[in-house]
Parts: sequence; structure tokens; C-alpha cells
Amino acid sequence: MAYMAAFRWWLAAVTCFGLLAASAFAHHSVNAEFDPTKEFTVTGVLKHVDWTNPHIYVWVEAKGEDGKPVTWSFEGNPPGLLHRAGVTKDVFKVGETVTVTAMPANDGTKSLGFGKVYRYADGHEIRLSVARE
Amino acid sequence: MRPHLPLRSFGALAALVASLIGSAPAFGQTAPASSVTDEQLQKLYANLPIAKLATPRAGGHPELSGVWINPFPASSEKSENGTISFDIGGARPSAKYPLPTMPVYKPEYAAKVKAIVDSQIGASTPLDPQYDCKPMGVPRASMNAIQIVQTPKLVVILYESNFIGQTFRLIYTDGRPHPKDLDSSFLGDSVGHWDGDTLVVDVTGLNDETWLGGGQGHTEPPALGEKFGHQVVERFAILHSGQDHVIERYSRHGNLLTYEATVDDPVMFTAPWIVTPRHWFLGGADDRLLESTCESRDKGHIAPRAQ
Repeated sequence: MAYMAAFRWWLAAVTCFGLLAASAFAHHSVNAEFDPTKEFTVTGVLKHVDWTNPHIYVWVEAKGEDGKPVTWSFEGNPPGLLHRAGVTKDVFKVGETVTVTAMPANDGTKSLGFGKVYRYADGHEIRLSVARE
Repeated sequence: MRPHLPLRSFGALAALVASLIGSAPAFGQTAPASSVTDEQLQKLYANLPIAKLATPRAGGHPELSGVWINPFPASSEKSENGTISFDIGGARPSAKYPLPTMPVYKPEYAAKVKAIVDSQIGASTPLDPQYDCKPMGVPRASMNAIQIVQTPKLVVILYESNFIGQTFRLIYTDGRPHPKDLDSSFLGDSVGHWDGDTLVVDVTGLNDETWLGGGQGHTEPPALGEKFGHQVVERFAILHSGQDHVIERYSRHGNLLTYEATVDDPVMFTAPWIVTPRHWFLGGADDRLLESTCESRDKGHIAPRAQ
């Protein structure tokens, strides 16, 4: 039930993203880089976390269509903001397989997204948010 | 759901945005009807319960040392299966508050500033030096978490930015003048003195590579009884000449730190810019500055959305 409630919250958040996309007050730079109206998923091994300003980056190695490895980078929120809200660097577990749901880059850069949900093999998730009304 | 938020609908938001981007001479800074004036707002801050606590003193002055926070209202929840949901929170520009003051530029610079603002996507443009991870300058650095270390002859301010790397300023209070061989720099040279219980800092030697404000702005603590702070964006406070001279005033009342600044830029402004005061709350015993390094990855991807 908690999961469904969270999922409904997520749907509501996604709806809000749509509204905020048109806002000159989109608080964060994320909406200037990524398209909140679209999403894609990638499954791979979490290789590294850059806990850097202005945004964290999570690197995931997945298998490309040709079978060769492709390294994806997923932007997140600022590290200080995450830390003070209780989201520490170690929740992004290096070496584990994750399925990342992400927003694509506005400029069309491939292998880049804003990582909204990181789902681990045991079913638990790390959910990041951008902005909402 | 979030009763503290004034912008209950997209329509209201659009109306506010429209009111801000009009074509009035001062860039359409026609304030929407805020519920308090600037003067009333400062009185509200001064009357907050935390401002009425005892003010510790050191060496005959208020003790400014400590970690000071103007918290962004982000939070997270953890469910039984270990799922962590991060919520960036509801800080938005609030129409309850008066708009912050803006510098009044001479016409030739006003046109440049307007062109920059018009080029923004949301609140972002690759022209913003924060995307190069450059120090934020003065007064723009005065936001987010800071730590002050006060000694009898030197006050150190350490900055934890959420956009750039960590920076610091040394403010000598031993009566020395600014150095004669000053190279311009992002944070300039600071000398301070005590005016009663207020630390007054004179800043010069600033370069012109920073912005004065703009971008995503900063979070101010709530003064009207809300749960969260509100976002203050000095949208049209951007360019400065490097000939600008800044006077800052730091005053502590209880566990509230108030920051005032006046920026005088005789090259670009028609009159000195009196910055709307900013505030921090004293952090808790466990609060500490976090390491903040910066990598300029965002800049190249700020772009209009592909259709």
C-alpha cells in the first residue's frame, strides 16, 4: 500500500512537472537541461557516484544494442541539498544492478539523463524530485 | 496540500510571471500585491522567537561564530522496504513577500541585463558564471550554508555553495587598510570594523566576472509563520563593472543573523543598490559545512527542449 501511495504521489509529481515546465520560475536548472515530459529506462551496473556541485552524477554501465557496454550518466540534485534531507551518497550502491528511470536531455545528448528513480534488484528504490508546486 | 504556497494554480503563476516580465522601465518590477511591506517584513524577522533569544558575546561583540543555515525545504521519507523518496520541497517565490530590490542600471547596461534575462531558460543560462563553477562574488555568495569563525582581529567566513565549490573570505578587523597592490578577484578584499554590535565590512577589488544575483536565487527563512522558506530571485541584479564597492553589515540577534549590503557601482548604476536584507538561522549542534567541489557539467546542456 505504501508503494501504491508513493506511486500515486509520483504520478502527481510528474503532472506538476508538466505545469512547471512552462514556468519562468522553474526553480532549478534541471528543467533547463532535461525534459520532464518524457522518460526512459536503463538497466545496468552502478559504477560510480560523483558527489559534486552543482549536481551529483551517477554513472551506470549498461549493454548497448550492439552488445557493447555503454556508460550512462544520470544527473541528480545538489549534494548538500540531498545530504541535509537525509539522502546520503552511500544509498547509490556501487556495484549493484539498477534500473534507472530518467528524463532525457533537452539538447539530445545521448547516454545522459536526470535520474528520477533508481530501482534495485530487491525492489527498493531511490526517488529524486526536481520541483513541484 | 501546501497551504503556505500562494501560487495555487498555474493561472496565478502565469499572472505573476506576466507581471514580472512586463515592459515597464525598471524591467516590470511591478510588485504583485504582497501582504507586507519591506519595512514590515524586517520587523517580522526581528520579532521571530529565535531573534529574541539571548545573543552570546565574545570580546565585547556579539559572537558571530557558528554554522548559519537558510534551509531549503527539502526532505526525504524512507519506507519499510528501504525505498527513499526525496522531496525537493515547496520553496517558491511567494507573492506574500515584497519583491527584492534591484539595481537601477544606466540605459546602456540595462539593455544588456535585459538581453541576458530574456535568454534564460527557466532561471538558467550558460552565460551565468555559476555554471563555470566560479566563486559567486559579493553579495551573491551570501546564501546557503556559511560558517563564521570570529577571532579578535579576524573574521573568517566559509561558504558552502550548492552551485560552486567551497570558498572563504578573510575579514581583518585589526584596523588595516585594503592592500595597495590589490589584484581584482572574485571575492575581493575585505576589511571590517564593529559599529556598535554590527560587523561592517568594506569590500573592494572585485572583478567583473561574477553576477550580483540572478539565477535560481536563494531561500529566505519564513517570516510569516509558514513551515518553509521562500525563494528570493534578484532577477535583474546581474552585471557589475568591477569598479563596484560593497559595504556589508552583519548583525546577530539571538539565533538570527541578518545580512545587509549596499553595492555602489558608479560605472553601471544610477544610484547605489541597497540589497534586500537576507537572513540565516543558527544551525543545530550537529550542523556542519559539507565539502562542496564543483564540476562544470551542466553548462553545455542548458538548451531549449527539442520538439
